[in-house]
Amino acid sequence: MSDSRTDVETHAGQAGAESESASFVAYELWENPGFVLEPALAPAMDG
Amino acid sequence: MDEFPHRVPYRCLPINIANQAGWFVRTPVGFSVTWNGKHDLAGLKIEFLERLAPEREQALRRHIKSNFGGGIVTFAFPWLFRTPKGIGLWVRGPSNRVFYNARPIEGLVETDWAHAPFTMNWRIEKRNTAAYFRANDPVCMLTPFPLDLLDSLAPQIKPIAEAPELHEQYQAAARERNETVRRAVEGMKQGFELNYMRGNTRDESATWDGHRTKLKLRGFDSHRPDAN
Repeated sequence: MSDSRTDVETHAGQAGAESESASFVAYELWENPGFVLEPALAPAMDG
Repeated sequence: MDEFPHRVPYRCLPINIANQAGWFVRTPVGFSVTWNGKHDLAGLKIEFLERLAPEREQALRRHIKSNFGGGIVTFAFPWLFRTPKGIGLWVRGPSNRVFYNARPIEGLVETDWAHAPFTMNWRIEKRNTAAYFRANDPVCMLTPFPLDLLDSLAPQIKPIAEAPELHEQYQAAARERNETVRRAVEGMKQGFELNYMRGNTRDESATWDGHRTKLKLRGFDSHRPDAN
């Protein structure tokens, strides 16, 4: 397995249980022609 | 959402939370897609909206392509996703975004074990009519989802009288909502009912523990060896 990878830490604990850190990984398979992976935008709220 | 009078959807917390509930994949290039109505792969025409060097266009066409026929445009992303055991990925179009003439096809993928990447697909709806995706548009939304959740639920229908406290809370909320509507109809200054937005349960002094008004998803950190 390649070391080339992208990590994000998430929390996936059950209610009432201590939440643990869990990984959400996007392993790079091929050269990326420019796709961007990012959190969905928080929309602006006007007041 | 921006086109609505007073941008009302932004005041709807469930819509706002849904809009943030996942990670986007954004396209690096704008393009149009036109389907001639035939079901073979050649029935779909993908044209980039900017002039590209031949090798650049060739690379993009490996990732944005006609792969299934039937008016489907396919995105093949360069990643293989892995989620914790029991968590899959809901692969879908961006929440509450409408693309003219293109409808996202959703899938729920067991990314806790799958060894092959998935594709994101959109169905072109009208024949001989272009659908447009602009550069940087989100073309996919990834939402982690507990795979055992749905099977574990036991749906029931009950009379509200079996939950008297909830019934009382509902009646108070209904009175407040009716008053808000009455004031609006009478031309009085219109306020927005904010109990749900604030997470108020019974009155303004009680806030639901765990109520969210926004999500704080983390970005992906690069662990590539050449990142530093």
